[in-house]
Amino acid sequence: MKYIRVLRYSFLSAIVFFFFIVETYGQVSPTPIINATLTGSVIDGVSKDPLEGVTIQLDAVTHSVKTDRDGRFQFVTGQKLPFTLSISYIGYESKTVVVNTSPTIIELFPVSADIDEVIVVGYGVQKKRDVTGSVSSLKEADFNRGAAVTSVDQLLQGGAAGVNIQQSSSEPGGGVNVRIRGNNSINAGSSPLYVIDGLPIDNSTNLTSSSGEGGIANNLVAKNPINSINPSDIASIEVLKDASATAIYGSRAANGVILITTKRGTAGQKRLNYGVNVGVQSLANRIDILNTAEYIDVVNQLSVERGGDPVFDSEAIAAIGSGTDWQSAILQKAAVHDHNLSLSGGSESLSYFTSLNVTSQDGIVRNTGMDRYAGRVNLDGTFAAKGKFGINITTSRIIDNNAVDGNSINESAGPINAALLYDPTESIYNPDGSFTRSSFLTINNPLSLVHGIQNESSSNRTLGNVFFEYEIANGLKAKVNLGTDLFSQRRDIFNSRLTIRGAAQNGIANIATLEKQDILGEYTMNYNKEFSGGNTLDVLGGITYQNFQIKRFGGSIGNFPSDNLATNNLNLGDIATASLSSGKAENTLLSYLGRVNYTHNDKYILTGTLRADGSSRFGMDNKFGYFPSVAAGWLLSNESFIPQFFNNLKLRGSYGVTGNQDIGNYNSLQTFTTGGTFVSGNTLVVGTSPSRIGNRDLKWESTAQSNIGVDASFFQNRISLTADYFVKSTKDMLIELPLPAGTGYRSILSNIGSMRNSGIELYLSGDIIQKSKFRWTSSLNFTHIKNRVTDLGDARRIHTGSAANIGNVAIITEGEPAFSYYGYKVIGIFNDLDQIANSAQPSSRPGYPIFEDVDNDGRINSDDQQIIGDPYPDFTYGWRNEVAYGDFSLNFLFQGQYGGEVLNGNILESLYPSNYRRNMLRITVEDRWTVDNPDAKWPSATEPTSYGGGKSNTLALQDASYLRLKYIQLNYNLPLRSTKSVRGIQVFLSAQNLFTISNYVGYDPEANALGGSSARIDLNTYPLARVWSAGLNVSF
Amino acid sequence: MKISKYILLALLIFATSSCNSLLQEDLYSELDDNYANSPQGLQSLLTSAYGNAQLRNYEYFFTSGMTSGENWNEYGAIEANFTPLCNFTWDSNHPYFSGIWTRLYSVIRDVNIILKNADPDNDAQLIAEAKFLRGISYYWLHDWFGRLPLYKSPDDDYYQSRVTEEQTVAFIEQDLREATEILPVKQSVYGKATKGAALSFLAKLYLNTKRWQECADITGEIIELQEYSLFSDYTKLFLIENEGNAELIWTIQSTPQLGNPFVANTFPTDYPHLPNQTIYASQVYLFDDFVNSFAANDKRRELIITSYTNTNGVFVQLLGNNRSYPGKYEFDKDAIGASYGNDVPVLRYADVLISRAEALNELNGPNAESIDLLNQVRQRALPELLQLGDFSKETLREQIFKERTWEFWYEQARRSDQVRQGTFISEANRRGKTAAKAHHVLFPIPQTEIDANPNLEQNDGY
Repeated sequence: MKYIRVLRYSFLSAIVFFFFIVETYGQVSPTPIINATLTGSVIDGVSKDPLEGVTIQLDAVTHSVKTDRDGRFQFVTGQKLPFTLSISYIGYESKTVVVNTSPTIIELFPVSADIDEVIVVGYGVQKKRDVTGSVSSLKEADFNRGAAVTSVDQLLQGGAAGVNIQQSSSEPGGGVNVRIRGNNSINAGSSPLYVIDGLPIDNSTNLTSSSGEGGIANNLVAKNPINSINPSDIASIEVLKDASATAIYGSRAANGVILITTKRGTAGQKRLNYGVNVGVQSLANRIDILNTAEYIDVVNQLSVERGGDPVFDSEAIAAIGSGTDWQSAILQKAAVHDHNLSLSGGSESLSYFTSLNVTSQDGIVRNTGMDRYAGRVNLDGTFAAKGKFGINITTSRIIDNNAVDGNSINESAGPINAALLYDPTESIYNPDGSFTRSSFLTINNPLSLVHGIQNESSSNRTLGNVFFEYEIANGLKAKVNLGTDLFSQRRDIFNSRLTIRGAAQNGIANIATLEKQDILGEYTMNYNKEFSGGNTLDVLGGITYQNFQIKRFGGSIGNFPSDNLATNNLNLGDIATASLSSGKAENTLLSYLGRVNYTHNDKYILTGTLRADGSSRFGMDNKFGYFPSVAAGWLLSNESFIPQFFNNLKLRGSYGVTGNQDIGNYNSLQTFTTGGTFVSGNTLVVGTSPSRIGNRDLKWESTAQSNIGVDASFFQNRISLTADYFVKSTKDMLIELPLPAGTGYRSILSNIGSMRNSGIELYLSGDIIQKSKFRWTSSLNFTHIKNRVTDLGDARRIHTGSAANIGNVAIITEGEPAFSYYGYKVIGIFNDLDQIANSAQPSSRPGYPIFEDVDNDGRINSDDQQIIGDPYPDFTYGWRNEVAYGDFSLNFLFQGQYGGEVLNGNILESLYPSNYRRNMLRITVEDRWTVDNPDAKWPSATEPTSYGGGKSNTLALQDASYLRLKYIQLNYNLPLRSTKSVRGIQVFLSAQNLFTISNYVGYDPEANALGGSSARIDLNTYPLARVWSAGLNVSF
Repeated sequence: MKISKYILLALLIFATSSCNSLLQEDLYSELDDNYANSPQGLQSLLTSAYGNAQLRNYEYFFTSGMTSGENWNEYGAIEANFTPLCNFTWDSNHPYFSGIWTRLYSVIRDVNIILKNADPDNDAQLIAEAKFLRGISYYWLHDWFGRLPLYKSPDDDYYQSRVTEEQTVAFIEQDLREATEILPVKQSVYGKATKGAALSFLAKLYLNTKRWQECADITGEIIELQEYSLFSDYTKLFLIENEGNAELIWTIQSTPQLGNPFVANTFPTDYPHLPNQTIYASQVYLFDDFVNSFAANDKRRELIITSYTNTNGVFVQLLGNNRSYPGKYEFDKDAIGASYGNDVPVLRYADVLISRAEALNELNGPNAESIDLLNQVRQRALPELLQLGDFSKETLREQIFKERTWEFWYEQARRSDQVRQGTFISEANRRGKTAAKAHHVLFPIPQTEIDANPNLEQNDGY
């Protein structure tokens, strides 16, 4: 609370300051000058930074001046106002302006598709025009906006072709699922490698209550581990997609690479920036369940249809009154604040960028949220005559108030599950103020979960690296890069007597800690030379070593004399109820890398890379894997036979192999670990049993990727297009080969089979309107990816993707997309007894679903399951816009997917209620089968367990297509009349998730209760929030 | 320049010289292969096998009752699994089949590692206990699935075929026989394998395979051990305070810390209970005709709950509505949520006596000994004893099966008894379960197992 007060205070002072500024500048009235002197400055229209060396030409005279270091210029002339000035600067659009006042500020805008633009690539930078690989490069102006954009992934969502980012959980800091060019693996990881300022990080998930610690739901959706990076520190993000771009990262590159570059200071430009964004979040889309009156009606109807009496008589109905809207009870309007302060500057010998960030986001489910405090220091400097060094350090502390929903049911489920299923005729409180508890349901009163369970994590993470670079000879540079990523987390869960499970154990406390340590040592050499005859050579070679360690500890204890001390005095618990766990693991990568880039006459570009990666995770004889790539580019626009119409035209082609080692440790070894527990009397004895069958032959999973692409720009660079076609073939897949359970093991991790992802990506951007006052720039991206399992070897069929009480819903089988939905197809609802007698379900009754008898054997059993859908969209798209008029601008992004299905657990809970007093979705009840509604879509709901078939069926499978206005932001740049103290002030109003167009029944078609898995189920999903926010950026 | 060269040199040396050791995988929280050869390792593997052989999950417990018509169920997420069992519409994807299969074969896995590494001279009792556990695991698997793929060593091929019925039974018999020769009559730790337990499983194996003479011999041997006796009061036999009494030969032990959810899945949520006791929506009932089949003064009926007053003070009549609750297992006052500490008997001395009576009747028809055996069990519940003169071989057989239903209800016995008697399917048909066909006497091999093992045949009819 104290902290929130501080926030409020700082926000208020920001507002007061803002009005003060407006007031001050509002009073200055323009005074036309008749004579002599004109002063002014030229700034970059996007960054608002001053531009040095800009040529200012006064019309009708030959005299011209250049701006100084601070962007200022001055004329002394005999002419009178107004003046007409022509302004020109390399890399910027030239401009002619009429000036009426002095001093004046002139904004110049960069030429789009700047030919000298440099982008970050693996272990270096390259001119964009020399890049032969497929790279999506996003600068700060391209990032998504809004107060609730709290992670790197959220900056990118919908903005880059080939990059599909889905928010698995919308809780503050919630997990995301990032897939670059499809889902490339089955049992090894499918998430990209993140490299932050040259430091590849371990982005594996942090602590989750994945096994229901503390008696709460199993939550498989870990918080996004990259939350520890402050998005406001980021200058650019490069997404490396094809093998030419990624293969330099070898064994971790098969799922693509995201390079994050943070901001740096510029010599001589001292800047102080302060930004604040304050918003309010509310439920974007309510799940439509029965209200109290409808519930009473339906429960009564169903009871009668089942042959019983109505449950509620008129007396009972009168006593119930309006009942309780449980969704509203657990949800709230929630605040979000974001503050950023940065200072940068320095000299040629030492420049700096430092920043502080405070983000506080409450969740729309009560008692959830995230607070982040982050700081950064980036230093760049020179030593000796030809040496350079850099230091990047960022440290952060995140306090997560975790949601307690997850992949669990009944008394173990969280408030979202409970709110959707709880009896709306119950009131929240008893007359004595305690929470009610239904005697018909083994579900907690939803609000008792909100108040009865604490689940808080605190995470500290420090990422730091330091590099030294020395130019040994002309064009030959050596570089040492040392880095580390230190992470520690502690999670405290306390389940009090307010809940069923807490009451059963007189309070349950659980404390878990996780420590991760990652050390990087890297040495690279780079040689760059231009030879005669237009030949340029750029060669890179190096060695890297990276070691990862992880340690865990956890302890649980129950039976406390009081709930008041929560996890702060475990000594008070009953030692007989205690359990402890711990673990430690380590893995190492040792790699050799090289790249050659050759250009001829600025027309022909060749790139070759090779990385040899050794990983401790593989079998003794298979430690090393070799990952080569080759690529060629042809700059057609530099050929005379290409019309001048093309400002840029480049053809690219690449082929390469990348790997995947994201499988966990020790899989090649046979070891022993905790086994069965023997109960004798009241004593428990824990035994040991084998962990797995070790696979000594385990080796790299590899992905070969071919890519052809074209980059083109025309109409004076106003329109640019990038198109790519790729085919990725993953082979020797790391698959848990199912073993006969007779062996005592479920599976053995093996290199089996292959999978193919192919697709096209389009990126089109244009300056549609380019008037001096009115500008509209727009970009559109489009991605289509097709996934097929091409070979599964001995594994034949793998059933996977199970959620609580649903069972497996996904299958991996040859010729089909991996993680396709597998289940029963419902082809109608039985209407009469004749129809039933002649069907494959002779023991059915009218109102039961008709399952398709696939094998036509006259009965419905497991052989009648089939592929009923898959989670992959036909295509995904994003459409980003900036419309500027004068000092106003409007940014917005539409984003979405077409096609792809999600198995909806909410529908299953409604179709197969465990108890007839549970609430249901309106959709499944409104159009349920009754004698009077024979053409119903949904079954009768009278005897759901007798339907036969299975829960994985087409009734629960829903189209997840959607179109979302991801954000919209209106900006206003205050017209400043002086550059003395304040450089710029921008105020803005923004909205996120303003609307979503979708037929999906649920909180969010992006949700996935299985977290990072490629199989998808929506169950007990944290609801999506709509966010309204207002903010201010001030720079000095 | 010099500095760079040195660094380059240092890194090169570092990289080339120590490359293999750098990529060595060090174990920190798992034990390596040598562990299985150590005495502590072998004991600990055995402990794990004991633990996994304690089938505390409902997969096993309810299956006999639901399929044999002893019980039926309403409500709860579990209803989706019980309904196909009650209606004979189960298929090879039913999760209970893969659950039991996986669990018991994990016992066999641990036993096989023990048998490979143990020293026959010094570890004789360890080996005997291990063989006992493997024997009873295959015994249950055989009871559910019929002939089996036999995994006998950790080095066996992954993809075993099913052997014949005779080979399956012979293997179980051999494991149990070898165990009986070494195992002690008493063990210091309650719940460890004893000679009596091994003999009792052997007796049940012979009984269910109708090897009457061998059954009679073994049951005789058990009686001669003079280790077991009937508990005097049937109504208190199952109480937590009487766990470990001399009638219990083999039980699935539970304690609230690691308990079973049987009570939680049996009673209604409005049944009077303590705050620490969780009850699920699922309810498990006994049919009226079974409750009414007891003699009115049969003490064994007293454990059946035929009415109750709910937490709202409303009286609820159960008998007459086919909804009597099996109350054999009490509400554990120390329960932790849905985890209750009631031990569940698997083999009681009463079963040995009645099994012997059945075997003797099959061999010789009714005689004084078989009637006496039955009366020993009967007399603690009913004053009216059976008279030798009232029975032919056939009517005594019928009487024995009736006695078994009254004696062993809610103890996972009825399905095996009906299968042996040949009435499992006909009884189902009589209850109106028209889907029940001859092949249902065995459960299908789990589909996951069929998918994973190309050498495995499914049972006929599935």
